[in-house]
Amino acid sequence: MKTESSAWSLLHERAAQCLRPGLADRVLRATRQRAEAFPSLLSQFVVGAMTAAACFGAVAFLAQHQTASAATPTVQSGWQEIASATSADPDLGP
Amino acid sequence: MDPSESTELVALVSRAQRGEERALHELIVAYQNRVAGFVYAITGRSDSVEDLTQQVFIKMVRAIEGLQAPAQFESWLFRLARNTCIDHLRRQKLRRIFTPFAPEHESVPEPAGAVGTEELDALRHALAQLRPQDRALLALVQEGRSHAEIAVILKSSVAAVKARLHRAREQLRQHYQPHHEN
Repeated sequence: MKTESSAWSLLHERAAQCLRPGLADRVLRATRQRAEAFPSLLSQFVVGAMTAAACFGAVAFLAQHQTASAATPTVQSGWQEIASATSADPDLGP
Repeated sequence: MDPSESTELVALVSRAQRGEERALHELIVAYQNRVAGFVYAITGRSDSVEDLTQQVFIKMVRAIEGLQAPAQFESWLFRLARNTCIDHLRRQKLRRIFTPFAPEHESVPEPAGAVGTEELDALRHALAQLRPQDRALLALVQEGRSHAEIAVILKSSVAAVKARLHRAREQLRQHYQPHHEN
């Protein structure tokens, strides 16, 4: 058991040798960098909301554009039908 | 300063909780060797010690504000260290499932100069035969944590800790042979 405890001391010594000098400074620097690198929760939410709004706007615009372009020929052909029917029927003429 | 002086430790931790960099620096310097030893006992790899020790202290700096009882700092720090090491080993195991190593990569030897005396090799060999949780348990005892503190760290009962510790010590004794040929 005595040798076992001396082995534990050796293990701790060996582990301490694995640390390069300046660990505390590196840790504090890394913590600061992480804090700067990671955006706040609010800014993440704002970016998310803006992205969602932009996507919604794009979808709405495209849907409206497509509906309008698909409806125009239908409406025009409808009016043409009415116009030709009107000119063919003398009762409906001016 | 000696952080084991509880009043001084509480004062230092309180200063660190207020965000004083000097206090955080002092805490890291005071505990870095103990945490490194603890990490080495659990992972058994000297090349993971620096990285994991740094991770433990980064977590400490980020979470110390939320520590309820500054007097419990040591237990809290070693719980952080234990969880960091166990997570690291778990991730490593998962990685090996998805990217199987070649047989020659399964047991990468310790870097040159990292393996020292026969005693240390024997202890490392014996610890390697234990489950990581049991290695952590033995390392916590080596750190001077009481059974009650270990029970809090492991979220277990004192009786369960005693039983597990007894088993772990028995296993370690079985595998610990200072004249073992590695």
